[in-house]
Amino acid sequence: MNKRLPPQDHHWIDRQQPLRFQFEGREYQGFQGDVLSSALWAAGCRVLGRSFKYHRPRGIYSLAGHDANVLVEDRTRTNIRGDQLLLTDGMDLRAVNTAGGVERDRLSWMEQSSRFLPVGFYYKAFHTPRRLFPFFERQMRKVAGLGSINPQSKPYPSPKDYAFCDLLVVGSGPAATTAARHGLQVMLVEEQQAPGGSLCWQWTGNQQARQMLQEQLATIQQLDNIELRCGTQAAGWYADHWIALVNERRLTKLRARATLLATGCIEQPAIFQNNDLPGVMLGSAAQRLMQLYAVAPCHQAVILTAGREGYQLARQLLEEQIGVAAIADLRAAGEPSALADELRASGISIYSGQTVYEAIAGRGKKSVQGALICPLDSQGNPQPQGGQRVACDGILVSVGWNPNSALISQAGGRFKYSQSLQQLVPGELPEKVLVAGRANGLFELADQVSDGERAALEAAAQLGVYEGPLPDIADHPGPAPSHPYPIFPHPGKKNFVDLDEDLHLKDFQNSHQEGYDNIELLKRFSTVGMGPSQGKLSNFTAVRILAQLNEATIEETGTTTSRPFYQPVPLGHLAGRRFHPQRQTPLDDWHRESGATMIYSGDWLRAEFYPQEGKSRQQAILAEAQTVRTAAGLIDVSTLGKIHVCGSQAAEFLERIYTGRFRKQRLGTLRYGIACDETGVIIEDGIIARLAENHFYVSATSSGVGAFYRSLQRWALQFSMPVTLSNATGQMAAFNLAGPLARTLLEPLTDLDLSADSFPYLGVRQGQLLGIPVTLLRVGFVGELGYEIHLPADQAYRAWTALLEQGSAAGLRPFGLEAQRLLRLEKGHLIVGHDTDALTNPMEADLEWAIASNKPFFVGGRSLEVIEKRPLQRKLVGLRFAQDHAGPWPEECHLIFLQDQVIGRITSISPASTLGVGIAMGFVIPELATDGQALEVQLSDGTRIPITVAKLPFYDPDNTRQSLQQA
Amino acid sequence: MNPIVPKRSPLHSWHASRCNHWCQVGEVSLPHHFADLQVERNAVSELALCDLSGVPWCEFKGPGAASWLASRNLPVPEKLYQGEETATHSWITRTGSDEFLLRGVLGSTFSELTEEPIEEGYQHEVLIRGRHDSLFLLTGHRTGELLAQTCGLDYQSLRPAQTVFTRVAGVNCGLITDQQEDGPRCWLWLDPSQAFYLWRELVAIIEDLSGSVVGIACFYSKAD
Repeated sequence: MNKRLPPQDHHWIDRQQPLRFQFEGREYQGFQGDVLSSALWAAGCRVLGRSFKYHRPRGIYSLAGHDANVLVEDRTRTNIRGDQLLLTDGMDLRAVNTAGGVERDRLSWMEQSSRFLPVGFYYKAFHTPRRLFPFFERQMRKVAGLGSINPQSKPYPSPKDYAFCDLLVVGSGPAATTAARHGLQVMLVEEQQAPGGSLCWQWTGNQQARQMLQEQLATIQQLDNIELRCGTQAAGWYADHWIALVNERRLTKLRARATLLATGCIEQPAIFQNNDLPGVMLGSAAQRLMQLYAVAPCHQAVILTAGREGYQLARQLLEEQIGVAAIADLRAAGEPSALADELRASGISIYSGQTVYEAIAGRGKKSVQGALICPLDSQGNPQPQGGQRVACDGILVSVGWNPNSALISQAGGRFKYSQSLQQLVPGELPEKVLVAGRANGLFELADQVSDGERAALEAAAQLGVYEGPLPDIADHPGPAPSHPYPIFPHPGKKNFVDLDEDLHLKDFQNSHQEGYDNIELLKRFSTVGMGPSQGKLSNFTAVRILAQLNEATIEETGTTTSRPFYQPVPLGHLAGRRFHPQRQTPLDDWHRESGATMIYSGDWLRAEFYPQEGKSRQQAILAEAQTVRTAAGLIDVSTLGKIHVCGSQAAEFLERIYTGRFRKQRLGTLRYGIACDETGVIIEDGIIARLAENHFYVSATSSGVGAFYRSLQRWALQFSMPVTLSNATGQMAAFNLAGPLARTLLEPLTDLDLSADSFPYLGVRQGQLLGIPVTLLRVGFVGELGYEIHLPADQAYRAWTALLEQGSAAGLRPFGLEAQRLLRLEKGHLIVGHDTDALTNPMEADLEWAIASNKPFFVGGRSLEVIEKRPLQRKLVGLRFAQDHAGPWPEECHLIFLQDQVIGRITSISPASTLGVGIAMGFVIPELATDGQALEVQLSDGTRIPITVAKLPFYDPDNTRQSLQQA
Repeated sequence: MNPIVPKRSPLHSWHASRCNHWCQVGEVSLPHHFADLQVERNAVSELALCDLSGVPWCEFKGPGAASWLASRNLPVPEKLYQGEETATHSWITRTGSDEFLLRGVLGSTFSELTEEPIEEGYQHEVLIRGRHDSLFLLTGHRTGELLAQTCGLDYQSLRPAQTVFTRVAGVNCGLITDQQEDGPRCWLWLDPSQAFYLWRELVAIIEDLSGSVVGIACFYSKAD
């Protein structure tokens, strides 16, 4: 059954481009420019969805995205609004929340149980016995709800982006297009597929309006300073004119200097029995169907109205050869205009002071068969006994408007209730937030255009580009376009206030009886406005109902808070492109080419170990460690923090940052330092090298250097010390060449004298290695003779490969992060952030020796003085497993017990070591921190393993390995 | 001892798996072109991305930085983020009250940054430190679209030669724009440890926007 109307210029559909699509398994045809709802309605399809709770049939209601009657899904997306879904060829869609499809939804029996499901029933029912509640919860979730997510669907790209403009104009109706022409850099956004707003569907009979639309669109196209984005909604307003724009593909973060909201009004529903049947729709929806998509809303209409716009709608219907059986006008005086006389003369029955009391349902409640119209008494209550039945297949509701207020509220705008309009209008507005047009309560075209002009001038003035006079907002002439209470009780209890949540009038009366007499509480108890439409059609009706129940005014009743987003936004849009910055060392290519297993260490990707054929992970790591102990190993430590600290007060500055002393540090030497925060907690450790009198080179932990550098900058400012800081971490590579052969291997490649006398342990030298400028630091982190080689990142690859090439014959091998962790554990060196936590002080970590307590000041010093006087809470100790223990092994953070008492935890562990025994480090209470103390570690499965406290370091306690002469 | 050690772009492996036509540019080897040179040249005015890593950099920091630069007859930009060209066509930018950053021209070496050689270290209250930042060049009239997806910066509002520090795809970058005959150009420099990550992200977006990764032949006349 084709419901298409004859073609006209202003239609959005292109009949030359037919499209085929499937809905609920059946094939349909639409046209380019159709939305799903219009194409289905044109094909005679009336039931386009099912309701949330009772599974009642639903059809088109607003055709503007203000209701959620038509929600569909395809294979990848769900809860797509059929009213706004532009058709494309080959679409395959089905309605959400049905069991067996919209026509034969097996869950339609839910309506029969409605009396057992009053508002808030789930707060009261099924809670005893408690154990059964999860079962009922699952059942409720099955029968009520929205679409389901297809976990197999492939994510589609939805990259976010940023945009900027002087003035954002939201809405492209007459006010908006006028405002956009005032010279500023303007972004004009329109949520529909084409600009024009109400000019496209409401004023189509008005020649002047048509001409105005064409002229304005031509101007917008000509002007470079206006960017028009259709199919885009301003979905949320955040501080400082940060606005989320959402379209089919992405979320745009727009920063505007000012915002002009010409968002128009949302047509409000009337509440009568069966007001949700397919065929009952808003007058504006009927106009959109006819004027945008060339679809007849019905054959024979009954119009329920409260103002002149209902009569204009009747004339539009007649012009399209659609019958109008009657107009029920809620106003006792009716419409005193020539238009009403003209319609009456054309044979339309006009019932003044009467309402549609009930929509008479067709079979299966899938259509409208007629309207029961009855008089209203002087209080506005329906008198059904005097009613009469009028045959029709469509009831078109045009009883009033309310501003599309979401963005205005989010921007901080306040509303007041206008008695002359019987709707809310903006009151106080924040600076650089302007409202224009119908949202200001202006319903005449000329007024809307003037108001757009006014708002644009005001925006220009507020942005400092206009200094002339500013007109006032015009007053609406004539009677109120909205009815104050288009709500009519009916014993049938199917007079819906919130179509999303299937809430009817009685639900509100019940809520009120239960004490929910505040609008915010009522909202939460009844869930009004909490569905996908976010109360665009229901919130203000709920306010009117509550005001009447409380015998209060609208202003006394208040409104609920509007929060972003204006319409639901897919989570994929919010995620956008996933940016997870990672850092790679200059040797990353080499590690991968060598088959290294890579792991994240903070932001960095590092070589964990280099797998060896026939060896397990643990065996490979142990083999790497043994190579370091017996020959030499090379590890990429480019991730280490590298900071230059310079200036005449550099040494004094470092003394304030670290716990140790540096003023008397000799040139060319290194010192170990720990840094604490103000509470005395260890935050960093590293090597401080004195390169020159006023120049120190400081290392820091790989994952902590960023924060540490920022804290150095902060302290430098706070101390007002003229120090120069420079973070060279990513710019410089670093390797650690360690092992008894280290000196032998390095010597032929450098111009530096590496002899023990000339370059002793804890020395630093600058020279060349393979022609590359390097800084060599003699350190012993892994417990062997070692040189940390710092060099420019872009020359590191060449140096690394050359070193390995020349040393491989002598047994030089690369080693990874895990072997380094094992080797330093054997040497008893802690890792800050690994063996320490957010509460560890130097005394607990056995680092008292690093504190120069006779200094006048250092960060955390005062706290450490206090802590030192208190009994120690825990101590970091070495732990040794039994020689014959072969597993299972505990993990880091497993608890340490003495009998039934938790006395500590493991911080580092290595089941295999070059010492031939499993070792660990951990915190224990100080009383038990004695060499040989027997303890137990509890595994995740509850079993316990014996462990013994051991003196640190496990390896080379006398540091003899650092004194090795030429190997 | 090896007197000259060539430098290596952090993107070397990415290039190596896609490029057969290389070119020595100063101390670094970079892709001359990847596929069809003419296609790459056409992309320059539309949307193109090129790796220029290997350009020499030097940082001057400390209370004596300005006077040190002046003593070497180097320009001292007065305003923050303002830049000036030096006699050797390097570009010097003021990045802080006592901080300056000198960038060499494509194909030059560290020793060619200034007329007189620079010695690294801290002297006369200025820390002179050679840097090894990666440098990318974005070109074409769709550059703004790419930046809009990665960076919360109003690209259109940037003045030519104005230095901006911002985050691109989550990475701290320096950025300078310029207008050439074939369209806008945008130089991005960043810590080399994040170069591979950022490059990969930019390439993904460039491909979405039908742009191209191009070799230096499009910009470096000596490459021919």
